[in-house]
Formats: sequence, structure tokens, C-alpha cells
Amino acid sequence: MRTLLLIAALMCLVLTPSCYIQRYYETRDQLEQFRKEQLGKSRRTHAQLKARNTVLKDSLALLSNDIERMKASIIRADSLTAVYTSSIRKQLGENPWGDSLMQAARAAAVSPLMNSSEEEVLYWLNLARYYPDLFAELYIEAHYGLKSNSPVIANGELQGGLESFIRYNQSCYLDMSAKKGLRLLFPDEKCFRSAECHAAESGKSGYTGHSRTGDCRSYFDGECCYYGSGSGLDIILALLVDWGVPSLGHRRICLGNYHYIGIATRDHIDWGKITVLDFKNKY
Amino acid sequence: MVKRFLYIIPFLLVFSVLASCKARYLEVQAQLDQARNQKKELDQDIRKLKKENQAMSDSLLNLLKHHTAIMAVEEKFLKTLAQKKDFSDHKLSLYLEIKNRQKLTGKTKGK
Repeated sequence: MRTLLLIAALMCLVLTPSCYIQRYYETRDQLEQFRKEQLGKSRRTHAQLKARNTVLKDSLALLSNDIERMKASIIRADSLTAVYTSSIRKQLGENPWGDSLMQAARAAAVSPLMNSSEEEVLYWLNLARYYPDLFAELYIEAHYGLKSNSPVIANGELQGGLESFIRYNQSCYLDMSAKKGLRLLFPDEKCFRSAECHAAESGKSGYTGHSRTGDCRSYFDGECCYYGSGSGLDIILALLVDWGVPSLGHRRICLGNYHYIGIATRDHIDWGKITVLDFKNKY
Repeated sequence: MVKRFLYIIPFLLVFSVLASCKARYLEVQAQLDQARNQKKELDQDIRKLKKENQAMSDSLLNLLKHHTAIMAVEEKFLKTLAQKKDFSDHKLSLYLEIKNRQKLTGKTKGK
């Protein structure tokens, strides 16, 4: 009996370790499989993400540096533009156009039909057409005293308000600088009558636009209307810069291939004054 | 007494084997637990990295847009400057020459 008990106890003691051995091998296999598949996959993903993270960080730093460099470049270009502008204007002096050109432009603007303010508009228009690059140098402000916190370069957007004005000025400067001189425009009676009638009718009714009302008959290939008061230079600058007109239609007409013009300024009930410019090609 | 002691020896041997087996099993089990914890940590890290990467991708996209916009602005300003420089270098002397010649003609006429 004692021997039997001893054998049983021994059997138990031998079986228990064998059970542990089996569990040991199972767990070891499980561990190896886990390490190979799941842990390995996670490690690979982690490494890939970390590498991507580093690349992204580097790209962000690179882009930020580039943007800072560009901002500095814009400010430098702006201030250099200001220096060039003042130097050019200084060298050209008080009479940059020269006597002959001024006389020619004045003579071309003289008309028995137009009054002095209308002649003044044509005088400035002819100067702008004859020497567009010189006109741009003298009257179009292509520098703005930009600082690093200016919205133009802080956001990189040239939209709305002052930023938009800068953009239009700059585009006008670039357009006119690249343009060759155009022929002078001469006053024409039919064009003047067309402009005068439209200015008078629009002024009385408070109309803004180009459609004719009443007895007015149009006679033009291109027409610009300016609402509000201002000197001849103010009117021509407003039409050339064409702020807020994405098509730049007025600039295109003013610097277009025309021969004759009629200009009329009349009172306008809403805007104070209206100036109509009717352009015509060859008869 | 000696005979009894001889009975105990196999028990002792078996116990020692048992203890060693259990120890090795527990060791492997602990390693498995450790690996599981490691995976859990890695997964957490992966989630964090994914979020971070997403945020960085978004900022990169915004920055790229900003970069493109500011590049266009820079291009315009540099173009303006180049035009000014061009005017200053080539055309100014021409205009000044014309102006001076006109002045000279005016004087002759005046006489």
C-alpha cells in the first residue's frame, strides 16, 4: 500500500513538470509568433511614421525659412524700388517731359468744343500714351514702404482694401513700363457730341453706365466714364490704375489703338461730376 | 533512517525539475507580457504619431498655399524692381538727353 502511494505521488510529481514543459513550449511559440508578426508590424509602422514625421518637420522648417527669406526679399525690393523712384524723379527734374513734348501734348488737346478741364484730361492722357514708361515712373507709385507685418506680406494675399490698391498699381506700372509709345489722340466733334450728350443725360438722371437714353446717339469704339471730381491727372490715373476692375477695361481703352477722342465733363446729381471719354478708331 | 532518506531523494529531484520548469515557463510568460506591453506602448505611440503627422500635413498644406501666394507677391515686387532698374539704367539717360536737346533748341529759338 505504501509503495502504491509512493508510486502515485511520484507519477503526480512527474506529470506536473511535464504539464509546465508543455505550457512553456506553447508560450514560447506564442511569444515568437507575437514578436515576429504583431510586434514586428507595429515596429515597422512606428519606424515609418517616425521617418515621415522627420521629413514633415524638415519640410515645415524649410518652407518657413523660405517664406521668411521671401518676405525679406519683398521688403528689400520695395525699399530699393523707392530709392530708384526718387533717384529717377530727382534726375528728371521739375519738367520731366521736355518743352517740345509738353507743347505738342497741349496743342493736340486744344479744341473749340472742350473746356479747359476737359483739355487737361486729354493733355494728361496724351502724355501717358506717348511716353507710358516715363508716365509710370513719374506718377504710378510702385513702392509702398512695406514692413514685415504688412498684410501684403504677412498673409501673402493681395486682396481687398490697400492690398488690392497696391496690386492694381503694381500691375499698371508693369503694363505701362513694358508698353511702347502710342500715337497722340486728337479731339473729334462727333466723339465729343456723343460724350457730351451721355454726360449730360447721365448727370441729370443720376445714371451710371454706358447705355444711351433719350436722344443721345453713341459714336465711339471705346468709352470710359469717370464719376466724381478730380484734376485731369487724377482722372487719367484712376482710369489707368483701374482699381477694382478685374478686366482692366479702362486701362486697355486708354492705352488702346485709337485715333480720335471726345471728352465731356458735366454735373452729376449723385457723384458731383461725370467725365465721359469716347474713343474712336480711324473713320 | 538511511532507507527513508533514500525515499526522499527522487521527490527532491522531481521537485527541483518542477521548480526549474515553472521558473522557465514564468520567465517566458513574463517575456510575452512584456512584448504585449511593448506593443501596447508602440500602438499608443503610433496613434500619437499619426495625429501629429496629420496635423503637420495640414500645416504643410497651408504653408504651401501661403508659400505659393507669397512667391507670386515676391515675383511681382522683383519684376517691378527690375523694371525700375532697367529704366534707371537705360531709359533715363535717353530721356535726359532728349530733354537737354529740347532745352538747347528752346534757347536757340529764344535768341
